[in-house]
Amino acid sequence: MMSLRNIANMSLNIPLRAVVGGTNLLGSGTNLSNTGIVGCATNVGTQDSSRIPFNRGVFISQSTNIYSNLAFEDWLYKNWSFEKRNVMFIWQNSPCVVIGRHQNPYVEANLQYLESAGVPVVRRNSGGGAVYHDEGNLNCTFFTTRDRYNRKENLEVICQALQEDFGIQAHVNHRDDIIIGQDFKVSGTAAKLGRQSAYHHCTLLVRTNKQQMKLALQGDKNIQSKATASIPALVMNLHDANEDISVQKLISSIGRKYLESSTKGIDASSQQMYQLSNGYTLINPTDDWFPGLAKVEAELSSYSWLHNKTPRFTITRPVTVPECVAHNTTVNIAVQVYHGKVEDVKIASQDVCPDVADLINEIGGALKGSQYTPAIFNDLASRMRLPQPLRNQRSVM
Amino acid sequence: MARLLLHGVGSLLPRLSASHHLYTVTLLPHTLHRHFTYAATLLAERKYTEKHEWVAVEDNIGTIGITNYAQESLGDIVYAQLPEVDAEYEQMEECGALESVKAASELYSPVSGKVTAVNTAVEDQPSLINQSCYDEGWLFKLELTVPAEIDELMDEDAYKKFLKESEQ
Repeated sequence: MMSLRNIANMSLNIPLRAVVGGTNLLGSGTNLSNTGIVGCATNVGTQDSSRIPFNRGVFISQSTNIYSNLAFEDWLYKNWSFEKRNVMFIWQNSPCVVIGRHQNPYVEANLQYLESAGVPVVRRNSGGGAVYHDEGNLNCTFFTTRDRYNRKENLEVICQALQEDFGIQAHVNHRDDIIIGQDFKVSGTAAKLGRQSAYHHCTLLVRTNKQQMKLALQGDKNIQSKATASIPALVMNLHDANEDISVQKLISSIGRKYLESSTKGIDASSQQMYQLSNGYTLINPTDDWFPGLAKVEAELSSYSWLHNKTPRFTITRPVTVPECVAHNTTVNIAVQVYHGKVEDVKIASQDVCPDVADLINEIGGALKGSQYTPAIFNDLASRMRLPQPLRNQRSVM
Repeated sequence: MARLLLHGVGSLLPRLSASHHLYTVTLLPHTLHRHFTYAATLLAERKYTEKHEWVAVEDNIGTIGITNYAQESLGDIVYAQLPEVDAEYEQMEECGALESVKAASELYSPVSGKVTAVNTAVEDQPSLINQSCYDEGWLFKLELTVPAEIDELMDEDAYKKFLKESEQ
């Protein structure tokens, strides 16, 4: 028996040949021919299933770029058929915050801090809540047909790996979080369901910087919105449950457990060789390997995808009226934002003197339709000092 | 069904299926005549897709929602991402998403057309889709560009049969 470390090393370092439908997917660990991939993507539906040597495959990303990895996930979901096989995609990212498809980045992430720290905030396509990723976190995506989509089954593979290879007792709760002990969350889940295909992905906290996580996820909770809310949980690193665990060991363990279910009935040594030669595929999420991926990546990293897909929200802030307009006056102003654009500006305070109210309403009217940024409140105050028509110019922002 | 019919007064009527006999049970006598008039002119039959959407067409405007089977299998819906008014879709094109228990499920337009209205009530209160998927929980309305597509969809009996077969 090879040690786990060896399997992990082999799965990550040796040149692998993954054969899909008789087409060489991988020439070597780092060199993938375009034609192979295109061939795979387009003839999957028609190939003879008897020629496929496995019905489960593990893809391991060589990138730690959140945009590239999410783009690959989306690319695979849209371009592959999972009728004949299931795929598990294993990936990691440099520090970033990933929010759910229907969430509000202002609510979920500490945008000011993250910008200064150079940590990206990214909207993904699946539902669910906000998570923090770093090199101590491992992500697994389970691709199936829509009909075979089964989150509990996927999470059980992980729980089994944790228990059998690391002696960690873990269970899946009603929210499909993986829990250790009484109530410590080590994994969060989200999913995307389409007409033919579906994927379920989850995080696994192996040795994440919990302080950074806490800081990164401190968003503005005073925003009113119908957006999907994150549910805060007590979290724990797997490394605190077993110091022997590492991300590499976990990749190997989960990958093996996942592949095992497709090779039952084969003797142990051939099973291992079979998995090594057929099961693991190192992928490089680039447009060269997966034509069209760059376009998906550009969309995911665009300003409008992050901000303008945000569900309608209202943010209320006190605005100090300039002394030249009114003495010692502060007015609460509520700005309603839809898909990134200012939809309405309203006075949220009682008993505002009519002159000030008129002025605010006038400026508010001019701001409708502009791109929302938190600077709108300062902008509103400074416009009050300006004479008409300057204060109503739409181009000031 | 009875509860549904009580809600289904006025503008909601077109989305109900034509179970005429139930009206006599659920509506007061003095309103009876008016509703039979609606029934005769506006009541549209729901048609169904294999992906569990329904559409009811009246005067070339289709009202679209998801079926009871779909809302049950999705679970508690927490967010409805609906199409924009004036957007145009081909039949079975992705046009939005429903989020439930951390899963974003793509929504498809069962027929081709141009969006004329979206149900803002379900945007504010997505649980309406779970509570009343054929009535208050409708999702959007389309002006049909290929009306013949409706004929290809399943009627209520065919959909029930389809559900039974897919369970096996």
